[in-house]
Amino acid sequence: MLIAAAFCMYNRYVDGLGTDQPDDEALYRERGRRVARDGYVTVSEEYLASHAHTATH
Amino acid sequence: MPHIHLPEGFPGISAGFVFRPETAKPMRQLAHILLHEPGSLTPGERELIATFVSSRNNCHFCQASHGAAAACHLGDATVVAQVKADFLSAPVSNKLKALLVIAGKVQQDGKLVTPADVEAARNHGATDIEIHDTVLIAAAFCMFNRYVDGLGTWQPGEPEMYAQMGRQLAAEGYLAPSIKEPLEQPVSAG
Repeated sequence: MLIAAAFCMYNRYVDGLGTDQPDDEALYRERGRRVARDGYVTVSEEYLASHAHTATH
Repeated sequence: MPHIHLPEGFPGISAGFVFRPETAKPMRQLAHILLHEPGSLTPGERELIATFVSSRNNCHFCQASHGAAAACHLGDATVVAQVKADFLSAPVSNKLKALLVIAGKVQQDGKLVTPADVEAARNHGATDIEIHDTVLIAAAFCMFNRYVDGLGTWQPGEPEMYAQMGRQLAAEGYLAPSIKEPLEQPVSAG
C-alpha cells in the first residue's frame, strides 16, 4: 500500500513540475541497471553531486 | 477495521508510523520540511494546501488534523472551512488562490497543470520555491492520504482530538510523534 501511495506522490511531483522526460529508452535501461545495482540513494547522490559541480562552474 | 494488524489506539497515520518506523522516519522528515521549516510559504498557507488536497482526496484524518494545524497557525478556523468549500471566494491572498489551483490539479494528475497556471501564480508574486513546494505538498498528500485510507486506519470523529493534534503540530512540527501514547479506542471503532 505504501509503494502504491508513494508513487501517487512521485508521479504527481514529476508531472506537476512539467519536468523534462526524455523518450530515449536506452537512457531508462541504463538508469534501471544502475538503480537495481546501486539503489536509489547512491544514484541520486551521483546526479546531485554532478549538478552541484555544474552550478559552481 | 484496519486491514492488517496495526497497533491499537493510534489514530490515522500514527498507526502506520508505529508499525513501520523505518518508513515513518523519512515520511516525518518530508512533512516537517514541507509544512513546518522556514524558507517557503508561511506554515499556515502550507497547512491550508495540505488540508485542501486531503479534503479533495476525502481523507478525514488528514483534513481534520492539518485543518486544525492550519487554524492554529492562522488563528482562524473559519478560513479553513472556506478554503475547503470554495477557495476562490475564501479570504486568502490571490497568490494562495493561484497556488491552490495548481494544487487541485496536481491532486488529480500532475499533467493537468498548465504554463498559464504557473504564470498566474508568478504574476501574483509566487516564487519558484513556493510553486515547487505547492506541487510537492499536493503530491505528498496524495501519498499520505492514500496510506492512511488504504490501511483502513482508525480515524476518530471527535474534533477535540484533532484540535489538540493541530496545536501540537503547529508548535512542534512533524519530527516527533504527536500521538505519544495509545488512545482509548472504542471496541466498535472502524
